[in-house]
Amino acid sequence: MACARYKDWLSDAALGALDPARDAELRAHVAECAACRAALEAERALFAAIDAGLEAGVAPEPSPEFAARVRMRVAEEPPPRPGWLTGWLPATAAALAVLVLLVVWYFPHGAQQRSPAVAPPAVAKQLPPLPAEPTHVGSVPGSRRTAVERQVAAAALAGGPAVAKNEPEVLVPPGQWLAVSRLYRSVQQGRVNPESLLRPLPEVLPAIEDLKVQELKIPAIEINGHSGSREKTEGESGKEARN
Amino acid sequence: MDALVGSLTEAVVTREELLDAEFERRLADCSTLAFRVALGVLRHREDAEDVAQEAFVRAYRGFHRLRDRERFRAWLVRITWRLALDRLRAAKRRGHHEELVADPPERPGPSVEAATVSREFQRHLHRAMDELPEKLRIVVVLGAIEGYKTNEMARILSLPEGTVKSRLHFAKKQLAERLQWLVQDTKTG
Repeated sequence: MACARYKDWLSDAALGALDPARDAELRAHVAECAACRAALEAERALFAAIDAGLEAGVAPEPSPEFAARVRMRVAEEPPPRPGWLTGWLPATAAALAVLVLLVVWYFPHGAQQRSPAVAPPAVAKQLPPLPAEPTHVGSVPGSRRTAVERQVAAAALAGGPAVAKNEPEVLVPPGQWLAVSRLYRSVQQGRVNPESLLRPLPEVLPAIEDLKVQELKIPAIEINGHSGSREKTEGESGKEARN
Repeated sequence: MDALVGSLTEAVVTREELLDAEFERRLADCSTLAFRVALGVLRHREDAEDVAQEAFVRAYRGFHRLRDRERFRAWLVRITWRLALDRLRAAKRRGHHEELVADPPERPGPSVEAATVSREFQRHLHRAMDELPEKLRIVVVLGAIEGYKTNEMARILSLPEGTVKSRLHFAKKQLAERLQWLVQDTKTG
């Protein structure tokens, strides 16, 4: 049956999407076959009906009040802000403000709070001739203190001299650590050769004698004001002596 | 400082006014399009107007962020389409949509012309549309709205024109297969 061959071509032909060679062949067939011609016409009518139905489904216009209703709803919305007001600009401005506040807060205090171990060259330029050593750090009221003294005083208030975390701590007798800290700084700056501070070892070491521990003598304890008990004690002592 | 704040405020207000004026133009241009897209999904006039209004409000909220204003139509169509589908699904969950779609089909009259003009044909067509995959359905709805101008549809859907053509063709064939029983009497055996 030649018609069966063309059955599957009908819908593509009705949509105008059939291959040109096949389209020519189908045209030749439907010119002679009344049934296939009717089927093709039915397909075309079906697609036309579908198109008409689809177009009819979306043909209505919105109501005349539609735009007014949209405007009313839009009017209730907060006004749209430009992107640069809602995007990166406010965040950048806030970050800059915080940065400025930090800088303003830090710099009046920052120079005084810096540790000498962190910035030794700056301290070295400010080092004055060694003053007379104070008895303790807090005993220089009213005097104009140097940066080093302020650092030492601040360290003292904090419980001891400021030492960087990567440096060893040294126990220093009270009243000497200002001098020790200056000596330490001088060594750091190369003004003092640390080897010159070491006492050379003697060529021949002295013999070390054995350690002798003397016998410990503990005198008897005498208790005054309790005669009875003392007499009893003496009597008992006499008995023991006689025995 | 006050002058700076004043000029800045003036600039912002001016920009807002410009945005509002431009949005007003878009509203006038695209009201029918948005309404018809919603109607193509919902097939219910009041629901379609509600959805189209909501789509415009959402578009307004993001209008200042839309860099390419020429894409507004495509953007609005997508918003409307999603909102309409959401509304349709919600209506189906509530059982409300059953009133909008057809009952089990009845045998039509003997001629295609008679079926075309009948309301029944429209109901069957809507049912067949609902069974299409989304990507085919939007092509069919837009095709009906835009007069099947594939270049315009391709621009709105951000698809190659060839893709739009093939989807449209495939969708119509599927619709025809689902509605073929309407014209069975006249078809060749």
